[in-house]
Amino acid sequence: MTDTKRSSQLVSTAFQAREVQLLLLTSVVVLIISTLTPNFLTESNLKSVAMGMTYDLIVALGMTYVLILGGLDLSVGSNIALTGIITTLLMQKGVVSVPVAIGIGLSVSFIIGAINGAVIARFRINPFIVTLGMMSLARGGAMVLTSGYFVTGLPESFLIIGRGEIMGIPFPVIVALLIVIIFDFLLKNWVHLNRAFPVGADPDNAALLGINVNKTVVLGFALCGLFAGITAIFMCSRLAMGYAQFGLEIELRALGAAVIGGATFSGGRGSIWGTFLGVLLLAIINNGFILMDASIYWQKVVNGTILIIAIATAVRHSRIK
Amino acid sequence: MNSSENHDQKRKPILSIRGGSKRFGGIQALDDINLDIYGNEILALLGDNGAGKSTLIKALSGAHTLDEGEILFEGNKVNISKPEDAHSLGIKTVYQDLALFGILDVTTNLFAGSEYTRWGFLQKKKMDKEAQTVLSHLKTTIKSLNQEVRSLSGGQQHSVAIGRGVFIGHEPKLIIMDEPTAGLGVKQSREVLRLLKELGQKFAVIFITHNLEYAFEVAQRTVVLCSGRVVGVLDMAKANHNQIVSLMMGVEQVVGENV
Repeated sequence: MTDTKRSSQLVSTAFQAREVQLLLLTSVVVLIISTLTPNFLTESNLKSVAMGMTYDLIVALGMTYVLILGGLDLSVGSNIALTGIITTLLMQKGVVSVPVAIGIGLSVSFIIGAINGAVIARFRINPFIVTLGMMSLARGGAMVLTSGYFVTGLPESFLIIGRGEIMGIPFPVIVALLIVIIFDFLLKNWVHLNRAFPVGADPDNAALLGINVNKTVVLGFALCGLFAGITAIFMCSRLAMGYAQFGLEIELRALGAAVIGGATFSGGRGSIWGTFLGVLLLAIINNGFILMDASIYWQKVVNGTILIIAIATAVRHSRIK
Repeated sequence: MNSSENHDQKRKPILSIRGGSKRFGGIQALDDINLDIYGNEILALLGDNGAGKSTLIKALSGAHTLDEGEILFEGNKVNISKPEDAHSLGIKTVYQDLALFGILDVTTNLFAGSEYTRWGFLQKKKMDKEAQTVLSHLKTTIKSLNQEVRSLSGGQQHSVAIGRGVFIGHEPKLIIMDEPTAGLGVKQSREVLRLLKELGQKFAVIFITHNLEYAFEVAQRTVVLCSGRVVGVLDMAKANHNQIVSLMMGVEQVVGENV
């Protein structure tokens, strides 16, 4: 085998067709926006794009995983709110130290996800219904705890998490990229995560082959919850407060990005780098709108349209094949 | 296969059932079953619906246990009470429903649930290599192991299902094919028969079918069941169509072999 053949094979195994298409599409969008406005390709703008997409990215990774499992999680945004409120309240009251508060917060997010997964697996209820219920429950919990007020007055050692930088790159961006690389590797290579593919493609078949389907589903949803929790920590730290309205509609953006990246609602499909590119594409389009002074309301219209198109093509694609 | 080799194997069955009986409520599903299966032969298990074919197969694959009687495997009395018991003996059953993951690739389909791992990490190269070996056992070529299984031909899909059922895990010794041609078109059935013959070269195979033509084509011997009893053990080369049909209908009985 020649070197070029080998290297092209390497490229094709590392990046599937979908990811290459997305990369090209994103490049075209970048080209268009940078022609229309000189402010796009500036260091400060690119930094704000990177920071802006970080929250969506971490949430979308967990969403991708539950989509592979054949589910979806509408409660990630509320999970962010409740986890954030609990973490910041603990620190504000000085009940526990900062690391312990973060540990408790992340545990809460993990448990919220695990409850979703357990109810879905145990009672075989549609994930849409279960996580829609949890969406309301967790948001309600966050409101009850704060009566709608901000939780402020947080310790400086907590604020550094979201605001610190290494070589000019915000700390959350670095962590998000590390999560992408590690999660992609583990999903492809670690048997306990990789089994999401057979479980999502056909759970009954997977069970016949001795795979513990319920365990895989519960852990998958728990992981999705944990990713929402990590997002909550960064969000609260960066904005220096906990707030019951954090994470609103993040589930829609995460779903859209994951589906653009190649995940489907029928399970068994999805890619971490695909989702990464999906989040990047949506972030760049949004940024373009801001730079061109388009109204924030139009952004929502465009986001919704992209989401519907992405889902429609995914559904059509799976029907044809 | 030469005749002296055949003779040797005839003296030592790989699996024997002695006095096997099974009742479901008031129904005698299996009644004093005696049969022997030898290595390197394809044994057709024939019988009408309700003759006891599937009950017998389930007793061998660990889905049911016999009420009475014993199973001898390679000369030793064995207890098959769950599918894992059958597996560890090397008794592999391939069910009619292929149960493949259409949107997943060939290697994942072969190894799902029985992945090769080291410290929990998939040994992909080892599995790909093993997948090639498995497919070459079945003389099946598949362009790429990364292909989605649903893009394969019917025959290739059967190879993947048989490969998974037979070759993954414990070494196969006795392979049970439960109506592998049911619901297939002519072309796909031919491919499955080819796979069956391939397996019959190396292993003992029990082939359950409704199609007498297929039984005549691939099997060396047949055991005919009727109402839970063995009503005939025939050498296919010496049997004829009408004889087997009358056995299946319970009109005639041949005790012992027609040799």
